[in-house]
Amino acid sequence: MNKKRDLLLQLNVVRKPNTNLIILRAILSETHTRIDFGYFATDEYYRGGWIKMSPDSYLRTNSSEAKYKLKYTDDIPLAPARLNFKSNKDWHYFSLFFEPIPKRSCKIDLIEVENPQDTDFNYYGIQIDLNNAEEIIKP
Amino acid sequence: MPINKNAYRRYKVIDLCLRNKMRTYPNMNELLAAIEEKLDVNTTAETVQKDIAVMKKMPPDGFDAPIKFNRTHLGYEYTNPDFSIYGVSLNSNDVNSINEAIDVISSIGGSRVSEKFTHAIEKVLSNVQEMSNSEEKRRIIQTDHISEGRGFEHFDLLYNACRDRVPISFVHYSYSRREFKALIVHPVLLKEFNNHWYVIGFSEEHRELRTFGLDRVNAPEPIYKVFQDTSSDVIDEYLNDVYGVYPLHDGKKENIILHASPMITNYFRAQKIHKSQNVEMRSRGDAIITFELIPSMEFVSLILSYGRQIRVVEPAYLAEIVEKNK
Repeated sequence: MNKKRDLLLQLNVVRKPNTNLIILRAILSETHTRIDFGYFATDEYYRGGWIKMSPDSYLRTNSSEAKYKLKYTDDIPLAPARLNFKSNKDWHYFSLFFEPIPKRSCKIDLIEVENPQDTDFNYYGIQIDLNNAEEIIKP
Repeated sequence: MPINKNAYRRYKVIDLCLRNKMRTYPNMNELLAAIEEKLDVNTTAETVQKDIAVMKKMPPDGFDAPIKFNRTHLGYEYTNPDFSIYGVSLNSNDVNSINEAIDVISSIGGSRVSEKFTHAIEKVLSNVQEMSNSEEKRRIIQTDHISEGRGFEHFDLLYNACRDRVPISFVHYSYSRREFKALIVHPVLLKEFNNHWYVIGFSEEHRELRTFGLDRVNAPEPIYKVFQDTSSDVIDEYLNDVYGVYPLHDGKKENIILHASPMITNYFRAQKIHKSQNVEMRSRGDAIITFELIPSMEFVSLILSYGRQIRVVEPAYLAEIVEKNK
């Protein structure tokens, strides 16, 4: 494996207890770590509610105390702005771009809020196994 | 020295005049008139003389154009009748043929060809439009298409992946199951059906050939991985036996019997919707229409679109699905 290339991991990890958020992929590059998500609205809200991302979100690995801060997002607004759904059957694909984590196998936590509620987008113990990573072909 | 843009446009008109088989040996006045007509500018004989001199120069300054004044016919000519400053000689018939082809391509180009190809068409158009007469362009051909939908922006990437046999990772969203999944697919074909585009390929998750609507494909990434090829026999079987895109039931080929009213029978007699279609006429004009195919949601939609004019006789489960969706 050429670690200089961007590495892609298929994750498909559903959040619990609310299962309407899923981490789909992680892409490890020299400049950022990208996490791809899928979200579908639920009937908890009449029109599906909304989503937003805290600008203070970060990644941490189980191998150091370092925090890898959120740099920018694609298709999800940073709080306090929010994306309002139009129906409770809406769905949305979005990506978060963090500072690059080291390209080695580890477990990562995604922290949106330090003391989260069930609706916050916190994830713990996401397995990053470089043995299962694919190298991305750049154009 | 770079060629001045205005001068280049004049060269194109002179080139067009010298290649016009309907009006050979244009003289200076005719060249001046053609330039005025095509470019809507007045120019002088001196300028055109200079243009001809430049065109006769060797590249890169000129085109090495074999232009000669013919004293017998008192006009200019290319001594090589196949010469063109474009490198490819196009006579007026060729230009008409290109215009016809461009009409067809432009009419389907909106949704069915990639942006890159559209750009190439525009380049051809820009040259041909100056060559063709300036009468107002009237649309003669129209095909049924809608403008590009969601996912169409991935057309080029997926096309290249099919061509170069490159596996793709993408995020798929299933409308029916309301489910996201990151998948790796080894794409072999792009298919259009009813103005929707689909990518067909071997899905590692499903361990079989699958069809994915481009509108449900998110963020495709080509990856370095050994390509899991699918033989053309398997692809042909997969494509030819199904009407539409998404097979129903267990995806097996079945005998299907429909009963169609006299009016609807006309449509089926006029055009087969599947190669296995057979129409058995009855004395009152109605018909028993049989197929041997893999039924799909698109097949159900087609039946439903005819309302009460058509009825599924067999198989029973298909009749039930149609009835349930009425």
